[in-house]
Parts: sequence; C-alpha cells; structure tokens
Amino acid sequence: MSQLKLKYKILLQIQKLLGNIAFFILGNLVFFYFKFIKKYKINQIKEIRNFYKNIIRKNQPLLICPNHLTMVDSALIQWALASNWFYLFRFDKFPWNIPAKENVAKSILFRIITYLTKCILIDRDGPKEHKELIVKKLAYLLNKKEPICIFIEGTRSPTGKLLEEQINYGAGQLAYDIPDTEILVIYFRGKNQTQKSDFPKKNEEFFVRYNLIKPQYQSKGFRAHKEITLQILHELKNFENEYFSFYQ
Amino acid sequence: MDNQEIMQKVLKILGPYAKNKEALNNANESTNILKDLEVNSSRLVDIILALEDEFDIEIDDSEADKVQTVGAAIELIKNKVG
Repeated sequence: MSQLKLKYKILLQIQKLLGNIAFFILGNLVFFYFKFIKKYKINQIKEIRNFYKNIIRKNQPLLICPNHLTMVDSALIQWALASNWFYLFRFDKFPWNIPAKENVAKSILFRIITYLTKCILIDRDGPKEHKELIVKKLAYLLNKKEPICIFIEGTRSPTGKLLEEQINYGAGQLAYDIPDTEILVIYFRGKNQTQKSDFPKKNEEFFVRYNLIKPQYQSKGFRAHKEITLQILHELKNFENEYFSFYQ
Repeated sequence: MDNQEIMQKVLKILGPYAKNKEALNNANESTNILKDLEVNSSRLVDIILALEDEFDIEIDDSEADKVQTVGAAIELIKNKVG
C-alpha cells in the first residue's frame, strides 16, 4: 500500500487539533445530554474504563469493533471507554469514526459536529479511489496508534440482531495490513433495544460485553481479511447469544 | 473449458448473492454484478474467493477490481486457467 500524501496527514492533524479545542464544549454537551437528559446508565463503566486504560498503556494499533443498533453508538462507546477529562488531555485516544457520508451530508451542523469528533466520512457508493484514500488514512492513523471505531455490519441492524450477511471485511483488512493491531470487540445495547433506532430509549441501561483479541490468520490477502473479520463476528455473536439468553 | 461452461459456474457462484433473481436468470456477459444483479458490494470479496476455489486460481487485488461484469469474470478466469 502506498503512503498517504503529506497533505492528508496535515489535514488529519488539523482536524484532530480543532476537535480537541472544541471537545471541552462538545464533549460536555454530549455527556450532559446522555447523563442528565436521556438519563442513560452504563453499569460497569469503571471496569470498562480501566480495561481501556490498560489497552492504551500498551500503545499498539487498536481497532474498536462494536455491534450497531443506534445512531449514537459510537458516542455512547466513547463515553463508556473514558471520561471527558481523559479525552481532553489524550484526544489522540478518542476513537476515529467512519460514518457514511449520506447520513450527515444533508446538514451543515452534522458535518461540523462529525468533523470535530474525529469522523472520516465515507461515500459507500463512491469511486474506488475514494475508498482507497480512506483506507490509507485509517492505516496512517492506526500506525500512529490512534484508535479507530469500525462497525463491521456497516449499518444499523433493523432486526436488532447482528447482520451477518452485511459484514464487510474492512476491519480485517486493516488488522492484516498493520502489524500488531489489536481489536477491542464490544457488544453494546440498551436492555430495551429491540431493533435499530436513532437514540436508545430514555432511562436506558446498557448491556456491555467486551474482549480484546489479537487477530489470528493462516491465509493471505482477501482470505485473511475475511478470517480476521469472522473472528470479530464470532466474538460479537457469543456476546449477543449471552444477551438473548439472559434478557429474553 | 469454454465460455458457456465458465459462465454457468460463475452464475452459480453469484446466485446466493444476487438480490435480483430475474436479472440473474437473464444474465449475459454484459450483466453488471453490482448494478444489475444487485449484489451487495461487501460480498464481492466472497465472490472472488469462491471463484478462486471453484477454478483453482489466484486473483489479486488489482484483478479483482476489474471483475465488474459477468463477462469480465469469465475473461479473467479464461486467462488464468489457460
């Protein structure tokens, strides 16, 4: 894979810097909204944050791969992983996101917010060159040990269960291309979440399971991308089975 | 292996991924895999892997990118299997 051009490296660093400056306001607004307006509750939040801090100490490339049910999953997971104070001083560890361009393109406000919250917009129907540039940007960020959140399902699940037929192998590709990448697999869902929605319900409590995996693969190229992604899916499915055997 | 034989095998592989079954039944060499057959782009990798297994060939990234139509897949396979 050829290197990312200097222009894009600088633009990513500017985006991160501006995001860091805006985070004091944006981060606290989101926290206030989740905690006091929506009254969301993550029971094991201390345990999760300790787990994330221990991962960060290792300073290795990190992919975060959750299931996907609501529009604010990535924000909820960012909240679960560390406090706003932590992110304010370690904004490099605030995970990058890759939302679909069509979801935010309509609103200038959404575009600004996603820009400031370390989002790299992807046009899923875009040309090959666009997708290659995104992969290069992500590889560059991973090499710099900046965590990246990727939803392997690519879209929110309308059935409320993992969309196996939708999974794409992008996370597997990155984990294969960047040596020593670890993958934090997170299953995150509101206990009253039955299908996809924009937001979890008010007063929602979250079921959270997570595991850090080191990708294992025997093959090369596309097959290895698939092999690694199926490991992520396998972990998510185990957590989902646990959820349904417990709560349904 | 002639074009017809390769085409039948290719269409059999595409079958489970094609949402537009009518287009699959009427497919010819100019049929576009993503647009006409309405195959999810994420599944292209699975199709490439299935083609590799079926024809015992290896397809690299740049070759995979060119597999946009049924005809392109047939052409690639023909070149590989000799």
